[in-house]
Amino acid sequence: MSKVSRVMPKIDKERCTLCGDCVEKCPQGAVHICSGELIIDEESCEYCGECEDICPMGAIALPYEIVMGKSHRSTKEE
Amino acid sequence: MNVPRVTDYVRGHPFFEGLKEAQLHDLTRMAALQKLDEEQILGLEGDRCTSVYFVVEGRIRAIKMSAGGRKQVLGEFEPGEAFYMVPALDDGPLPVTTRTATRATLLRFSRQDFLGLVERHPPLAMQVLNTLAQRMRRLTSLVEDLSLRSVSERLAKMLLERAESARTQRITQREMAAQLGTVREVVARNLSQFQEQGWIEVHRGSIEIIDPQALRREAAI
Repeated sequence: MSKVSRVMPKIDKERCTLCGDCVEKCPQGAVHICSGELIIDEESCEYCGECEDICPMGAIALPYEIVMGKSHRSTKEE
Repeated sequence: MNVPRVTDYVRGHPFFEGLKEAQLHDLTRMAALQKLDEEQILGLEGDRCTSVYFVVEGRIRAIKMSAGGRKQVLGEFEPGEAFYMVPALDDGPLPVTTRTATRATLLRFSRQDFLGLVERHPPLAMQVLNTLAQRMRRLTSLVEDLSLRSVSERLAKMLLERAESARTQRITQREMAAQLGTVREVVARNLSQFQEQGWIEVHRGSIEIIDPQALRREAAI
C-alpha cells in the first residue's frame, strides 16, 4: 500500500531556536531534533497542538482549512 | 526606473478609481513601492505615524496587544484597501500594530504627502471618508461581537463566515483565538463541544461543517 502523505504542523525554521520545549511537551514523542533541525514524525504526530502552544517563538503552526460538509457545498447560502 | 511600475500600481489601485489623469500623475510622483516578505512589521502601536499605505498585493494583519501579551486581531487589509489614514489625519499615535500576513506589495505615501493629496484632490478626500465610514461599521460590528456574543457564538459565526467565503486560507487555532479575543485552549474546547454536538468534524488540517443550521442558531444569525 502506498503511504498517504498527512497534513503536518508547519515549522518556521528561521524562527525555531531548537530550544527543545516542543520535544519535551509532545505527548506522542513525535518531535525530535536531528542534525540541527526540528523534525516531526509523520506516523506518530496526532496534530494535537501541544507543540504550537508551547513554542515560545511561535515557530510551529497547525493550520486548518474550514469547509462546508459535502452535503451542503452545492446549497451554499447567498 | 521604478517610476513606470509605480504608475501601473497607482492606476490599477481601486482606491484611486475615478481620479483624473493629472491627479493620478500627482499621486504617482509621491508614491513609493514597497515589497515585503511574510511576517514583517510595518508599524508598531503607539508609534508616530509617518506613512499611509495602500495594499496592492497580499494581506496585512492589524493587531492589538495587551500588556500581558494577549493578541486581538482586528482584521486584515486586502488589496484595494488602505491603512494608517486615521493617525495620518489626526496626527495621533498608530492605533494598531500591522504585520504582513503574506508576502505583500504596498504603495506608501509619507504622511505629509498624503495630507497634501487629500487637500488638493476632492475625489480622493471623498474616497478617504467613504473608507473611514466602512471601517467604522466594521469596528462597530466587532465591538458588538466582542461585547454581546459569547466565545461559542463568535466561533460559530467565524466558522460559517470562513466556510462560506471565497477565500480558502488556512487558519490555526491560535489565530482563531486572536481574532475572537480569547485563548487557544478555549477555542479547542469549543471546537470539541461543537464536534460532540455533531455540528462539525475536526480532521487533521481541516474543520468540516456538518450542520450549518445549528451553527447559525448558535451564532444567532
